[in-house]
Amino acid sequence: MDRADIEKTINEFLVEEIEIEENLIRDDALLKNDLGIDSLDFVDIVVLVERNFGFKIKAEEMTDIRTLRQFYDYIEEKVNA
Amino acid sequence: MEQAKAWQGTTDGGSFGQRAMLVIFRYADVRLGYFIVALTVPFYMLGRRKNAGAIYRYFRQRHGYGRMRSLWSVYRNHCIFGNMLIDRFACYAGHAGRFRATIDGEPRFDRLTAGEDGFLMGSAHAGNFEMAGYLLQQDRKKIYGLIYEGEAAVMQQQREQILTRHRIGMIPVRDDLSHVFRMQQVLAEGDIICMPCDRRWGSAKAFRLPFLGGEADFPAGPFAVAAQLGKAMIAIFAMKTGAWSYTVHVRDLSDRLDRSLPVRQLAGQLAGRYAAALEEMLRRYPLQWFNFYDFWN
Repeated sequence: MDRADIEKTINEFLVEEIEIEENLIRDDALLKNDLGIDSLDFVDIVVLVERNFGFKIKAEEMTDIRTLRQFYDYIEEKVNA
Repeated sequence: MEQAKAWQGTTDGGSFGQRAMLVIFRYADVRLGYFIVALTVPFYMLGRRKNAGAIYRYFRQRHGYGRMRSLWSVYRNHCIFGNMLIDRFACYAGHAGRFRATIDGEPRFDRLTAGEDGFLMGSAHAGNFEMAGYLLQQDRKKIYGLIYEGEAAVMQQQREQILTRHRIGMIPVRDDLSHVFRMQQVLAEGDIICMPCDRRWGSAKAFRLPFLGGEADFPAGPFAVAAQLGKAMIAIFAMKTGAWSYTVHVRDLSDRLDRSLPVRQLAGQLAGRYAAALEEMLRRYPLQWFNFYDFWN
């Protein structure tokens, strides 16, 4: 899966499923402070990542992920591993 | 979705007080504690006027009581709250087996615990939800309670000893989201998550629902988890019916739920059923509501 597809899939589910406003979606957006993603949204994200990318997010892998770019990088690394 | 109100408090009593309670109730009957509570509650109410005021308004506005009846009910409400804390300390001190329980809705609970799937139990600050874990006898599944890190360390430590004995674990709610992963793991392993559905736990999102003649915001979290993960959900209320006795009411929130609905709608339905079940409890046991703040919008 290439980077563009990964970003498109993630952005679509952030807008449609997590109900984040599209104008807030940018690479350097902070997941918590800019996009307002909280632990309830995270339940959805874990399920949606498994459904769309075929792997389960691990808690320890998310500790250093703060921005949307870092999240794209993480997904790309896992998908293309 | 709305933004849920947050409870701004912590559990009362320092570590020394809690340790003292454990020692006392290792040997004393709970009724001694109830007697002391009855004498000390008025001073507590004077010191916590804001809390008492919220409960006064609950009786006046939600149950339509007159002024004197509401004042008397506030006193009784605080006494029952104190008595329930004593019951918990009696359990921590090793007397859980002395409590008698009547279970209303036991067949549904038994069917769920006999099955392979994990499920969620929604509780409330009505009655004594912690007692439900000790009173509901089953040994197939482990129950995990979500706890807030505002609790005193010694209370957590003392809980762990009795909870381990009753196959009950704890999942602390933390900023690092570890509780989210732990919850999913617990449910995937076929165990039970128990959480209060009238306090938020890491998300401000809520459903605004009709409740006891007004409107109130119920945190979306528990219902969204059940809906998103496709798990059954029941509501559990352990209501005090006397010294050493409780009735545990089990209400099935996911019976005949239309699982083809979008997750948000499913979650909303679960929340609506929960609010209706909680209202049923408060109409039967009006004195056992323990959200000491203005819950309604």
